[in-house]
Amino acid sequence: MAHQAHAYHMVDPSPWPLTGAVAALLMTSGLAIWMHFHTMTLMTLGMILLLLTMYQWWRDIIREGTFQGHHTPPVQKGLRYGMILFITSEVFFFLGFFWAFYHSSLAPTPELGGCWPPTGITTLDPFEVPLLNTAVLLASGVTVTWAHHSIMEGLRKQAIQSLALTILLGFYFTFLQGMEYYEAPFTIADGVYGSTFFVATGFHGLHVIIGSTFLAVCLLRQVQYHFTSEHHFGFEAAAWYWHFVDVVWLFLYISIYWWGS
Amino acid sequence: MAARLLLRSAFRAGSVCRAARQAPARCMSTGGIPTDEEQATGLEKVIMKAMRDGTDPYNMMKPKGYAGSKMDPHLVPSITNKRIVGCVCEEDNTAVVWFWLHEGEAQRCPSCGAHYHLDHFVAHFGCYLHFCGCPVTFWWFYIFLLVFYVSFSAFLWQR
Repeated sequence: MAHQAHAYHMVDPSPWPLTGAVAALLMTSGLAIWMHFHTMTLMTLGMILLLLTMYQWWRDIIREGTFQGHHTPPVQKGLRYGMILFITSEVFFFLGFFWAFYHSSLAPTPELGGCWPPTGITTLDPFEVPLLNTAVLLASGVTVTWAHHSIMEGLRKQAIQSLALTILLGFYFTFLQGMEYYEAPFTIADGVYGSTFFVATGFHGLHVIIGSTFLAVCLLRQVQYHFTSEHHFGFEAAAWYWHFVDVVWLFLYISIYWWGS
Repeated sequence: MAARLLLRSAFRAGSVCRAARQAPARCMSTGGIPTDEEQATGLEKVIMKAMRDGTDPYNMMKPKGYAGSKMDPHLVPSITNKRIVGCVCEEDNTAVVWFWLHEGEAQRCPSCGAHYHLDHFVAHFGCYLHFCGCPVTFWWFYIFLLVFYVSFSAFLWQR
């Protein structure tokens, strides 16, 4: 039977899951090889393969949804569930690092001086650059919502402008954090304070870069007329992810920067 | 979820107010962002049109309720001359009674006796074509297996 009698999408065979798995294998074993034998070849190969996989797999999804019309309402529903579940898993990922932070900071050991921040640590002033960063991310949350409403109302120019502004704010945050990291009076090696600070904020920064990239792809697609005023789930997924990144920062700011100082 | 609500409300809106053009006023000429009406394609477009016309060719909605009696049998739509039916005789039953329903006279569930009648209709798929890929012959997988096998053997025999 050549035609299907259901509204779901039976995907054509694809090599990208395999290349992705191989990339994961090469990156992990490459990481171990790098640590023991000081050569980055295998890991770099894995990273290149990962980038190629991501580019081609997601390009194929865009082709299937936007150009071939396979993303019917039930399929879109499945994609929504998928994104929500993924973001939920990321929430749990960050919960672990918050757990680590609170474990060490609520009952500081004698080795730290019995206090938090530990003896010898000069913390960053939460009301300087970190506060600016908070304002920048909150503003980007506003602009991304503005972009969404522009798309729903069919306003192309506004959608492009607000989405571009969101991405610029994201880059501004990354730049400011980069400066903070460079100028910080403590490092990741400075006891449990350094570890919890840089691992938690570092992973958050990585997620900001990922979110900005996702939004940039959406901007490219918007410019090329991929989105319609009713169907633009790629953008919605990017916006959800961006709001998640914003919320994680708020928790980071309150816990580590403010309470922890 | 929002999409399910969207599905149901769009279906009801489409079937109830077919005449009243509730289609959004925005389109390429007024704002620059296309609407689904202008740009949807493939199966998405077929389903969009069907929902607007009030039909459900892909069984996305809950099936209509019938009494299941001889006078009012359950009508089971089908694009072929037989379809599998699963009867949940009483609400909350965990044992589903499965059977093939053939074209012709109504059949009865062997457990509860409810009547089922196959409604064989010729499906119109419009200009939407589905290409079903055959999973057996993707050549790159065999090449990968060969390369992997050879390199793994080489790695083992090196020691």
